[in-house]
Amino acid sequence: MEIIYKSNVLNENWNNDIEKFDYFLLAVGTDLRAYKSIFVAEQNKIEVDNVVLFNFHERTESIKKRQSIGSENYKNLSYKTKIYNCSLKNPSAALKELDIDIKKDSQIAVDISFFTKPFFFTLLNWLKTVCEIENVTIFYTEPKNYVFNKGLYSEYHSSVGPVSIEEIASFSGNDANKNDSLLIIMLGFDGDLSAELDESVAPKKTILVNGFPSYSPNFKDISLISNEKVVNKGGNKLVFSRSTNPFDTYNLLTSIKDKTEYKDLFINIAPIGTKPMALGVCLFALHNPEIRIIYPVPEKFEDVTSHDSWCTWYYEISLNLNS
Amino acid sequence: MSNNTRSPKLSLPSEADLINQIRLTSEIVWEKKLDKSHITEWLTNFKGEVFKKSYEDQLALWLLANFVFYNENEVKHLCKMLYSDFIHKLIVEQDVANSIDINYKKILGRSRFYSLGQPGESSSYILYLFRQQNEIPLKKFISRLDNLDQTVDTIIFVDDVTLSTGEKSQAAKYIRQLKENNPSLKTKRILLLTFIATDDAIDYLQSENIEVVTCIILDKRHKCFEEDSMVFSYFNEHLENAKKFATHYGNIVKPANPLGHNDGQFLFGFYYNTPDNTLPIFWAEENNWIPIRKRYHKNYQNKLLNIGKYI
Amino acid sequence: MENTYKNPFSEYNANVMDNNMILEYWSNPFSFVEFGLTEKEVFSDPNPIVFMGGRGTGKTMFLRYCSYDVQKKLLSRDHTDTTNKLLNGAGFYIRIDGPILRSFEGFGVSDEKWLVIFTHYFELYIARAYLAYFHSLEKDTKIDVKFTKKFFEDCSALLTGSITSLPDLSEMISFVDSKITEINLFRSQIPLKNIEFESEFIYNSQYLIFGIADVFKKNILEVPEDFKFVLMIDEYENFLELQQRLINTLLKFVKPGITFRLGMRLEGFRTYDTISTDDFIKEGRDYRNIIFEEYLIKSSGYSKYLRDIANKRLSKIECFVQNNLTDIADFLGEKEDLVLEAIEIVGIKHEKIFSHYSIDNKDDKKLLTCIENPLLQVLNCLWFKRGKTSKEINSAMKAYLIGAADPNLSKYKMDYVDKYKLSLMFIIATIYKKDKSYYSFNTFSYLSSGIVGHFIELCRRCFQYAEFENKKTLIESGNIPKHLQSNASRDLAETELQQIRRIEKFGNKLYFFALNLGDTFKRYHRDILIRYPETNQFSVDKTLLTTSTKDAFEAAQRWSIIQRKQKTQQQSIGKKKNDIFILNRVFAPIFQFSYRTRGGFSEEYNSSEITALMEKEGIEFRLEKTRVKQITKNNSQTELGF
Repeated sequence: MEIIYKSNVLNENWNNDIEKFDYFLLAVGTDLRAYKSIFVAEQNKIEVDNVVLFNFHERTESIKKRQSIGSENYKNLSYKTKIYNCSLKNPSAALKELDIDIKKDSQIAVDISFFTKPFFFTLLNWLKTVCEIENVTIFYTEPKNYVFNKGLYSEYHSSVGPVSIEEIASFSGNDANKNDSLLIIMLGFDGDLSAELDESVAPKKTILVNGFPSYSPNFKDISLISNEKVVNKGGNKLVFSRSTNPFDTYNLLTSIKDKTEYKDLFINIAPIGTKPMALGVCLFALHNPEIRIIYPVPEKFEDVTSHDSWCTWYYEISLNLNS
Repeated sequence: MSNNTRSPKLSLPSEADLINQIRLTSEIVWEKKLDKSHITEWLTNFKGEVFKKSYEDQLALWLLANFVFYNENEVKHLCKMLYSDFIHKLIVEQDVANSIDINYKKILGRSRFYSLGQPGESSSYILYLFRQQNEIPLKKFISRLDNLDQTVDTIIFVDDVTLSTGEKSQAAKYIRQLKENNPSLKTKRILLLTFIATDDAIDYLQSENIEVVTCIILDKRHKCFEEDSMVFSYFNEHLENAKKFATHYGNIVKPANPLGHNDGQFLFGFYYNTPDNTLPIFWAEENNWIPIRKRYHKNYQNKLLNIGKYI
Repeated sequence: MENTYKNPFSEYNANVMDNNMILEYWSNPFSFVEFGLTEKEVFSDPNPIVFMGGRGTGKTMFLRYCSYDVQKKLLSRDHTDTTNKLLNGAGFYIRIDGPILRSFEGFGVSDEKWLVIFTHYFELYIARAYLAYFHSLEKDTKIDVKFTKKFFEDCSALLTGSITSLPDLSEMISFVDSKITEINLFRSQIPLKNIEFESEFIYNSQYLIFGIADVFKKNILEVPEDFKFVLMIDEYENFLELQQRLINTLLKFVKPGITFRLGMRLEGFRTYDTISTDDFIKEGRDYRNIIFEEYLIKSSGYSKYLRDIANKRLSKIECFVQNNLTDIADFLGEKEDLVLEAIEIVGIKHEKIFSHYSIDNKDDKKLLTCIENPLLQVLNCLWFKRGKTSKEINSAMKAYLIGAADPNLSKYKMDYVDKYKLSLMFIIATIYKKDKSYYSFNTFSYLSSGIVGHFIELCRRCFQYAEFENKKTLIESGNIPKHLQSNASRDLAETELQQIRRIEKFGNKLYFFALNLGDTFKRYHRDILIRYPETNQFSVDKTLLTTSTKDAFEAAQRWSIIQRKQKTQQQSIGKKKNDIFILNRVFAPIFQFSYRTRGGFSEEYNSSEITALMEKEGIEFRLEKTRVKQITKNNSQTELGF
């Protein structure tokens, strides 16, 4: 059954039908990009009953250092705000202990700009499974530019140091009656990670999804250059999905899943590309729980991987397949 | 060699690093169309007339490393994205009471696709790919506008780039001309589907009642030598030098537009051609210039290509 | 013909290869390397065997080759009697990836509960493998095997307690799948809500693994007495400690007719304990240990093995076949030409060598010069510094070059050919501030350090660069220029070094460790007096390391950043025996050290020094550890002992 998706750039005048939220969930971040959507809501007098700010203790130091560029600007919000201190590394524990009562028919907004992907994946599944929420409005503000050390595109790192390839909590999938695996990697700029993923899953087949069209024309090449080893690996297939539209990603994944050649393979997806692509992956996995999502969880995320803000997007997503 | 510009503190990546990056890009994106000999040959164009030869080579290689090439697979994907965006745009306007399938059939029923420009121009080629990739029935593509079915209310043009505004906008000029020759067009809804468009061009065409649907929007960050240029976001200190360098050599090959048509300053091309808004140092052939990305010009002069001795 | 070209080393790793490809690319290591066991014993030895080796050593390829599916294909391809051979035993390739294994902990569930769930999971996993095998036997018309009614009844009873509930293999497989699904569902839900794992049947350890095997052997008449289920568990290092204890228990109490082969990285055992805390497995008593890497590095057959692997890939490329370029040495050259390399670096600037050795006298210089071979000139300077006169040296050199007699000829020749030739090349690189090049098949064999994957990657990069440089030349003449090979080896070294940082838990420590070791060895190689030629090894008593350092050290071994030399050796001449380790040679191009291991002298480290080497970059203390033995001559001048 086809659905008309809702995906748009949010302008200063709040060009979004929804004018009231029961809960607006976001993460405390290292610059203004973290709060752009909530401030636009405030400016346009959108009703928000509860703002919940996830304050990750792993970021405390960086946030303090970057006060001058707006990292603590959330303190200026006029909405009723709850700061929830928790760990970035354990979304399961954080959500199990979260003391808020979200009713089934609540209007929820989540700004994913500064949530890590493993965290917001589990968060959305928690909203679906525990809170029984059907629909969520997602906001995402893209950065103006990314930090490339020495100016070379192979020098981008979203994290430093050790990584461990993990299943994202609550997305273990089901490999029963499957003999082999298919690994779908949403390519990012951090080339080390795709090699680690490939090594860890050791799939029978690998499909690489390059974000294209991308935020900026040459980003499509940067992700390919950075991931040269897996791109050039014999047998790997390269396909495309728009960087900014999660529904494109969803459609692509559906078309892959429906192909006969992959029917007997256990599908693993690694969302290391853009956040909107990751959102598309999340949506797909929520609708297809037999899919496994894996992620290279770093010991330490890089504090600053991008500069400034650019557009803010909003997406209306249905957490359940039939809603 | 000019000594007017101060030396930037942060050096560009070394020639070896840049060639390595270009090698990877060539292998993975450019379908291996570029190899070391091409690059070496192209660099011979730069004679150290503006800066030291080695620095000019670095600037040239930096620009080349940032050149975006759209290969065949990518262009085909753009065709699909464009169509998907077009359908989404129109479906959203339809009656929600109808099923999507019914609405889609309605949209297609009253739309016709037409080439932007003469047969033989890139638009025709793209139209072919567009039809093929999206499996659109052939009868939706027309070659005449003077005998349109009455049920048709939307004419859709498909092209690769729409970058200019005002008098320089070829799209606006062409559609205006079509309207002059086919008055019935004036009452139709006009859409232009284009792979790449600038935000300025979109606004301009909107003012001409041409709705633009595009996959890639270019803004001032994508003009090579503008202040906010993404190409020089990390090496900002080299921006002025690079502009000087590109202008100097651009003047040798295209004195009217040393930085590209309409001062484009763009750095991209397609597997089938390079637009003239892109820096001419990449594609020009005048004055014995060796291009790295050939541009196939439109022959407006009825000049016969040199076939050979025997015709 | 250019259109038929593709990079012959565009990597296909063993997991991606289908069974046909495994056979196509298979190069039997047993044909080249002495492993301390025969190929037959891999199947027939009733005792568990552990195959240890770093990433890329070929363990997975090897285990997959031994699996039932591949062996069946092999026998069928070679038209050998499948029936008899296949009924001697069956190899089951088992790989459970790290992410799944790691999901069996945390989320508020106790370790004990997770152990129960994992045990149940593991039993089901193996049961499924068995059932799939039986199913393929049943369907195979070439193999005459009758699955009796009793077999189905006993199997069904084992799985469900009822002899009739699962009448055929398809039903059994579906049933097992449904049980695995229950576990997977639990793993997906437990992160969100606190629930209990519930299932109608929860299997204890050994119940299905040994039980189903038993049922098969008892009830299928065609199966011989000595039929073996060989369970080949790959990547054992990914199993958590509790999980390893479970499997260690299976190893210890293995029953006749079932045995285990474990594939793992070095130091892949997190524990040797079994489930019962006062019992453990011991090498020799409970399992045999084969360290792939150590055999491969040591073996003279290793380079032949690599050549075989490479040539098989080259022979798949039509344009190379047509141009008769199917030997890897055609592309890389057989060995380095150090003399040529030296000449290219030195050019006409021989004088620089003398100024580095502080040799100023004009007559001495004249006698010590060797324009046609700068390596000899450096050797001459070295001898001069060690007390020989320029006349003596010149005479020995001439004797060596033209084959005349001289009292010093034998030592001169030995020093040049056997002892110092490569070291002299490093000195030249140092003096002229150039990098030593790393090229040739021989060098690449060494650089790969027993890791086939590295060798393949080196070749892949070479071909990639050569194609970009000049595809036509590559296809027509094969020769890949030295500088491209050297670039490839350096780039791979950089990639591997950076990749260290990503190692789980210890990445940063191991990165500094590699950097500091590399820098240390670099200094030895830059010593113009060559006091300790080609030093690239160190010794340490691991038992004295602190726990956290030991863990990191073992991770370094697990990831083949350092490699142990096969037997304990004297740390240095005259010292006690200890474990000797080398820094993986793949890093040699970055730090400019030798790709060989001479033996003789090692850096010695105690526990705190190893800890310090892992802490940060640029550790200086090692420079204070001088090794020079001073000898006093009669005229009271000291000189350096040889």
